[in-house]
Amino acid sequence: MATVTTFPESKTLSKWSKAMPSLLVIDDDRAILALTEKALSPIADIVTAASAAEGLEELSRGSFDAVLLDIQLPDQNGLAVYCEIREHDRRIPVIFMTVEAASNTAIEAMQLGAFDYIAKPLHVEQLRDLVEKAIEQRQISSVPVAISADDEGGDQSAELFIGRSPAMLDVFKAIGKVAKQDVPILVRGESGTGKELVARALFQYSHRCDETFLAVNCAALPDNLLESELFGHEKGAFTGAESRRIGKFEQCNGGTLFLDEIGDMAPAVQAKVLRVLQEQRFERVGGNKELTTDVRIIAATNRPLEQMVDDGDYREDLLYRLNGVTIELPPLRDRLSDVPSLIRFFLAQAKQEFNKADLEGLSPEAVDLLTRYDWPGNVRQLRAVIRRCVLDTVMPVITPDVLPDAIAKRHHPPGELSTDDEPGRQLPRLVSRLLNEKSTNIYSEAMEYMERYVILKVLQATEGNQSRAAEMLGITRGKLRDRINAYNIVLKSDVGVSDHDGMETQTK
Amino acid sequence: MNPSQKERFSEALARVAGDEDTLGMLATIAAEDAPDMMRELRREVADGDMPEVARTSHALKGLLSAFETKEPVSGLEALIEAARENDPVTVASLHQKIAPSLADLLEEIRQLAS
Repeated sequence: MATVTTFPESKTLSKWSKAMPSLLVIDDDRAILALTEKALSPIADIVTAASAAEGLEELSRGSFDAVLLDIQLPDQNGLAVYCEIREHDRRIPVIFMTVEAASNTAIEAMQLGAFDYIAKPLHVEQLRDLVEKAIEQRQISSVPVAISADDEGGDQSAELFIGRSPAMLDVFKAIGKVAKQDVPILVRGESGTGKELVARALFQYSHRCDETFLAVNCAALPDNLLESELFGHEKGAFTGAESRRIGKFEQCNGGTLFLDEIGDMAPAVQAKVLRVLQEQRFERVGGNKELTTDVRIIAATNRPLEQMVDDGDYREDLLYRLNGVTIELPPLRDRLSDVPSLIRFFLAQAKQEFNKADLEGLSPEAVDLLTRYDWPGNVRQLRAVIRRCVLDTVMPVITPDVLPDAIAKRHHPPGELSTDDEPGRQLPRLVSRLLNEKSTNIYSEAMEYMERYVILKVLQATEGNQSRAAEMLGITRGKLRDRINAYNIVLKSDVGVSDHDGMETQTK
Repeated sequence: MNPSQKERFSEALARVAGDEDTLGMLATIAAEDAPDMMRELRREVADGDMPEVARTSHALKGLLSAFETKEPVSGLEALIEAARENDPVTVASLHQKIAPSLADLLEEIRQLAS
């Protein structure tokens, strides 16, 4: 061997929050033990074991951040060893090594919740990337969860009443005011904001709560079928009408009919709905007999009905009949302060539904990303994301790496800041958000943000020296200490200064 | 490593990020461990001990695949499968077929280690 080449130094070593993570490698092939020890020693302290028994013994003695485990050991099946590791500490990410990457055992390992598996022969760069990822996962998972998966569950209708943002409080008030009034109500809001939940709440709090509640999605049916669905038809009214059919208006007599996507209705149907609203009268399709009904209509749309009226696509008289009382549901981006409560609710639901007893909750970084996302698909999208995360995670704590790319791309590993994340850069966004939420505490929240920023910058400039920082700030050391505690600023005298949001700045 | 060895084991070298020292270390281990495993395998095939043939072939495949993933190492897979299916006739035939190539590979690995 003429040339000596060393593995490139790990660029990420400094990101670990403790001095050196530890890795347990269990494999009866001593070439694998030697290779992993040599390739991974720059990023972790390596402990090796040549059998399952030896590995489990090491595990009981030490504290490991990840385990590399051969799937076929001479004294015990790798899967059985994995189960014992999980019993010992279910937070340890376990990476299986296998000669047969596509084997059933590897698939079974993943189903059991293994962190990942890697095929032999080992490719050291892939191995190191994977181990780094596992260690990072372990460290993120080891912090207390920001949102617990065990907080609350509740029935689906409770979902509407989650949130204390001013915009949602207005919605709750409006529901309270009009639920018992027997008037038509138009619920407006973007797709996914929960318009049907408002309709159900209006029904539940109305005098008609013991009667029928039916929902029809006007956009889901072709015009002729929608007409028949709403008003019914007589036998022979059209080809295929082999018998009389009772429509929703008739079926719902005495109850509440929710007409979703009311903007997607053909002019002929609009005219018939208007007549029901005005006179509570209608005829079945193909029928001559006038029928009466007592139905409360709650309609919903995300379409610009006024514009449609101007364009001649919607009846003006129907619009005015419908929007006598209008409830506007805010998009989720305008009530981001409600996101943590919604996450808690959906998380508890998904944990139960998918039988994920080990799931503890979401890491602070994941919560931070979720509460900063714009949510174009609103609450429905948030629910889908949480459910997907619960399904995808193999760890007890959901961390940014299982979030969808569109959300996780805003995540930067500790030590790497995006321009947006730099302390102080979030002030305009914070003020905009508070304005959107119609907050009545803008001055105080903005000042707190500014104060924390100023203290962080000065502490960074003094490399964590509090006496010098207090002098530069022109405040007493005692006051500085109070502020550091109040803002959860964590001093790392040898590395940098980080705040509780995970923002960290290196100081040289 | 001489140029022909670098050429011969270019894929193995790439797997260890071009670190010839590491490949040399693996070669030393393989040169020490593989002969015993190959002897064991020969005996187990002769004895018709299929569970042990499968186990030893699997271990040998893991050890040698650091240097070569194609023939004759890939040929061990068929041997493992035949042993798991408890088919001593096929096992004996396959073993007879790949044993010389395995010995050649081991010799190349020995030279890499020296």
